[in-house]
Amino acid sequence: MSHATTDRDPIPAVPDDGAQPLLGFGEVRTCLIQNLAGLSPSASVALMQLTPGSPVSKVDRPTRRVVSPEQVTGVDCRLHVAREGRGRAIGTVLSHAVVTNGRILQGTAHAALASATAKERREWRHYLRQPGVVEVLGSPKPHNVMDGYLTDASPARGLDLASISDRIIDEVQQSDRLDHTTALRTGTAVVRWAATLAQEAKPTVGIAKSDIPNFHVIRLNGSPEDLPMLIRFCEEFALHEWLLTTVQDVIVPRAEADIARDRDPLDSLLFALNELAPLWMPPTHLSPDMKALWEAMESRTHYSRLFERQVARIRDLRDQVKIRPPRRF
Amino acid sequence: MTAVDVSYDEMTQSARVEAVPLSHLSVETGHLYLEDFADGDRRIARQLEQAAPWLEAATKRTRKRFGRNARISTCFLVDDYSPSGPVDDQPKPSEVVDIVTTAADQAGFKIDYLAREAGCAIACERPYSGPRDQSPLANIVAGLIVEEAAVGANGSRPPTAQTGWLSNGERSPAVSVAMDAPQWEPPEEFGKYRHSVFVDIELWSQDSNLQSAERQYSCSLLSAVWQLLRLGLLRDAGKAVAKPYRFGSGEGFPDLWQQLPSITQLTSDAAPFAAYQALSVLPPHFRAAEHAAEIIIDHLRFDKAVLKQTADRARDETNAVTLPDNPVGRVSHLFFDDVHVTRND
Repeated sequence: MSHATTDRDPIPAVPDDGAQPLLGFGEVRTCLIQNLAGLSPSASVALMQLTPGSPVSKVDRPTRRVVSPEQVTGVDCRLHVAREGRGRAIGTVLSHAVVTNGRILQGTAHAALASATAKERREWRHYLRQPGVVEVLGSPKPHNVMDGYLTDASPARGLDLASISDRIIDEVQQSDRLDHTTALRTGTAVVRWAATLAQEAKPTVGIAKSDIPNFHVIRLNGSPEDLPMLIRFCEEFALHEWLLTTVQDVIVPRAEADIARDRDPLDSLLFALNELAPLWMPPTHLSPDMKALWEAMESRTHYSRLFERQVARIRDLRDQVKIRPPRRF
Repeated sequence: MTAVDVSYDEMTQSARVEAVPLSHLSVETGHLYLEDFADGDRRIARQLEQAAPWLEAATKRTRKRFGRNARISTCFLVDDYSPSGPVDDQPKPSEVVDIVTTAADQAGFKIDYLAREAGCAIACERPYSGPRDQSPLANIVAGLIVEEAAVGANGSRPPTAQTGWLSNGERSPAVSVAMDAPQWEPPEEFGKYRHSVFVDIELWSQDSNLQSAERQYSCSLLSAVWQLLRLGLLRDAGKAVAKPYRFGSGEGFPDLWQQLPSITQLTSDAAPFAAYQALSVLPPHFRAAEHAAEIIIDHLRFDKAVLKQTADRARDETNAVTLPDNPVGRVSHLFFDDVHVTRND
């Protein structure tokens, strides 16, 4: 085995002996790290060392991406099933944190759902052998389970990946290594996703922007082997969606309002140009499949073009401020 | 236009797992506190004398199963983690090594490795080691614990293992002392067979008055670390930990226990310290802590690569060894009794 490993996220285990997963569920939260300065590479690695002795993965290019070891949470709960059917989910959920360029923090929780290998709950060590796999007792229809998960409320009635991804964000943000000062007041964006998994299935994506602010729902298709790629796709989508929303809905309107009131908007404009704009780096380099998936998504959403337009708008605002400096500081 | 295949890889720290040498059997011939050496060799002599016939039987059985060349190593654990007396009263490592070696000779066998319990909390591979070459093993093992999900746990609540306790079941709900106290409800073991054997294990304690106070790890957790070391299952970011150290002929032992490596190799031709099977021959008062250690090990998520590496090695032996999926299935114990012969001198 070669010692070199490529940019790959920790892969959720597909059960060795159990059934193939039928569904993949996940939730990604994206926010700014509560630290005034961007974190250095070593500080990012130290921050992501959530499990002592387990390796932190770090990739420098095209953006510096540092990923914590997977955390494991045991669950045994009823599924929230849409329409008809009941199911009990037993197993473990994985979660990890990601720091991008020492600025953006993501907390992500995910699980693969497979049919149970026994009629009753088994010994705990059985579930520990397949981290990230949740076995479903009962036989609810997969699309009902999927709709149930995607439409579950807060607090969750079924699997609560929202709380798990929230907790990992809190754990990181509360670290002593941070100064708990924000460089920019922004929100946390949530992406909830579910994937239908079937052998030979071609990857597809359907994105729905919810009427809840900063909340997106993604439905995906793919084969069980695609699951790690789909997880990564959702994380990348969440990151880019957060960047676009932050620039478009936070930085630009605030700067326009500041200019109108003769206040200085330069700090946040420069923050956007220097710290956020360079993070726009679609993950098309990862694999041909990821490239195809991302480009198909782009062709519908024109995200990159929208972002470019916002960045151009920020440059305009910056230039305006330079030409006619605000009177009030 | 021709398509050009370009690949770009970055090295990351992940996925590199160092292998450790393995014997067929590791026998723990005893476990004593530093204070036990205060009155010389009396306690250790008795311990080793009691262990000797079991060691002989285990050796015989292992050779019969895995061949004449089966590798067998012996070890002895000294508890220096929480000494009760002042440092000056402690016997020096060199004195203890002499006592142990002589007592083993008298019992008719050799002790290959001397380990210290504080070295299970924090592993040191060399004498006088500093923070750079130490591994916080107790922390690492505590971080691998995945608490068993209670029925109804959907992820909304944080795991309670963060409180320093691990149980094998559902705790009895807290009962208030008020007059209108709710009726008592029993705890329940997960996966019980008719009746529960509910165990709640304290993993560490911490002085709550001091924010930065270090965790004081329990004997149960340190026993789990010790068994995992003996099974060759612990790594620090993929690196092997607590490799045995053999002092050179002119090299003296340090004076303080904390300056000693975690595991000191005492014999020159010892078989590897870690093994496919670990047998502990111990006095009965260790039973509870060993049971707790087993429960802890049963709640750990192991690195798949490490488990696979060990299983592959075992299968590739001349006489292939099949290991159980469950690491606890590789550990056995013998607790001897307290019955003595009355001597009429």
